[in-house]
Amino acid sequence: MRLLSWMDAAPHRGPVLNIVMLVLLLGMIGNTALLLCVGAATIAVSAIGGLRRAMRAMASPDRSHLPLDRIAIWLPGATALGMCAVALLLIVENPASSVAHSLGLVLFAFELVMLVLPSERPSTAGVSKG
Amino acid sequence: MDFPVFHLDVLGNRGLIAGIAVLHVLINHGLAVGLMPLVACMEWYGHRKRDARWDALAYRILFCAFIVTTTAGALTGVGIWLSVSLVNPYSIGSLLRVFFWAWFVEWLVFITEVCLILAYTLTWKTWREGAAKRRHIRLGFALGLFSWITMAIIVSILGFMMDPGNWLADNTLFSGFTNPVYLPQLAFRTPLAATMAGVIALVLVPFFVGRDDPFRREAIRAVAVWTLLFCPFIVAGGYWYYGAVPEAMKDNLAVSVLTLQFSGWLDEFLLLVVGTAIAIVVVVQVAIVRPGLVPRTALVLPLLAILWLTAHFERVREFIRKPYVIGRYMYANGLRVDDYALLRRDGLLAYATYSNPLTPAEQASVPAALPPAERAAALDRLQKGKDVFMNACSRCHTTHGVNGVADHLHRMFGNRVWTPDLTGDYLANMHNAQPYMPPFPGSQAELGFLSTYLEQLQANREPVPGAQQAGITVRPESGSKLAVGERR
Repeated sequence: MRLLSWMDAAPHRGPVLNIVMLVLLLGMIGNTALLLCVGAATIAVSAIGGLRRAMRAMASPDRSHLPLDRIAIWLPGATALGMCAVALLLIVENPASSVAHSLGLVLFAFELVMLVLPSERPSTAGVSKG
Repeated sequence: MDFPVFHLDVLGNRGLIAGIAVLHVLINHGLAVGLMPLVACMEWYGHRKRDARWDALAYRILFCAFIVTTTAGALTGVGIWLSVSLVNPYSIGSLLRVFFWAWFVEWLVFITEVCLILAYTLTWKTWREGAAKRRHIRLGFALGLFSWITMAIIVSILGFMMDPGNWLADNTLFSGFTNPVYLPQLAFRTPLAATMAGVIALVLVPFFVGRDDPFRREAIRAVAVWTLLFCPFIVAGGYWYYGAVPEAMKDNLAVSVLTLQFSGWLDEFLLLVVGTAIAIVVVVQVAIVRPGLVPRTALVLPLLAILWLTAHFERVREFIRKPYVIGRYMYANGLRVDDYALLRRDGLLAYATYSNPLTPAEQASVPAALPPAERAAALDRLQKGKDVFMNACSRCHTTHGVNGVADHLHRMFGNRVWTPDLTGDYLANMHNAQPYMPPFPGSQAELGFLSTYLEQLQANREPVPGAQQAGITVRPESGSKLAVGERR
């Protein structure tokens, strides 16, 4: 019950837990081809979710037109996608018992979390006009 | 060999240059080339958003950079050229002849950069509103541009030292400046500087914005975006740069990345490098998505990581071009490739103006019981061996200190007596076994003198002072021949 209430406290905790369990499972199975297929599919699904969030942020009426704010909408997702690819490369290119393979698994899980985790909205409280 | 030989026998000459140069690169890239545009962007961003907090933060970060760049940065900048001139005056002389006008322009740009940083810092509080503020922001971007131009010129010289390209055929400044490694290296260093600046600013933000201030998260997030933005360009630039490095140099990669002793660990080390680079990206990613979750100590991790990676990159760049100090033109010992035939015919010492006198410990290695004439002859051979060592070996090697020849001989020959026969054969062919070593430059007789000198190092562990400590004597034979450079 405590776990359920902890997960209900923030909407992103459920997907994060799912990702961790998925990667653990894939890691324990140890089948690189399966990991590549499921991993690529998971990246695609997460990327679509991230794309929708970014599009919504771009269409938001209170969006900023400054380049930094526009880049900040797209950059985290793009980076996470790129790093997911690096992680899969590390997993595929190295034997299952190696440090590089394990690093790839941890990185893959982390980057998937980055893909599904919505960014904190910067607070405008305390702005002093110059 | 017209200069007395400066020598540090514990730290090593390379250690002196490396210490100064690496510190300068970290300051130059992190606090000047990368940070000035970042500060100007922060000022511009705050001005556009009409948010004075950005202005205050940018000024504080600039002030840190101002203090460090105008003190340690300027001193180490001069220090590089001073130390290189002491250790290897022939290489710096060649570079000056080739890049004279480029260096002159760089000096003008540097003076402009100093004036701009003074103006930018000192007018911050007065040029605050309207057109004055816009002018001040333009001043910041101009400062960033001039900082980059100084690096862009010096990077050409660094590229030239790796591969002079067509300069070897036509000897023009244009060919030297546009050497094959220039643009790839510049494409690597530019985003590296920007990323390093972002990482430094990430560490500074929590010092200047309180933990409970919501602006802290906003600032960390914005600076992290800047940092992450340039990371893909580092990878792309690095890939281009690696492709431009001559294939012969890539054979030195294992030894240059680690050392001869640990060269078998290259794969493990490269994994460590990849892991460290990933750690930087991961912390910066979290700083964007959840800036509130990143403690101050976690922000120090990317800083330490990028400082280490950059410093190590400089070490690799310096070593990988061995056996040359200027690719295919001058060996690391300061002797030109074209002069080797002459030096082998006449002997290295025929063109050596100065001699480094024997220390009492070195003299003691010759038995006092020998008949006076025999002892004088033995001391003469030892003196010549030392002079060969100082001119041909000491630019890179110490006797028993860092990269000491005694350690290398001990690794190869163990406790066997290092007789001239044993070491002489190795010295004559060492460049074939270890491609990063220059061939022995002197005559066959001088090879014997050097071997004799090395033999006494097995028992004599006293440091060998350079000309700056022990002084020099003028070789009596030196007046009979012109110096190598004057014969052309």
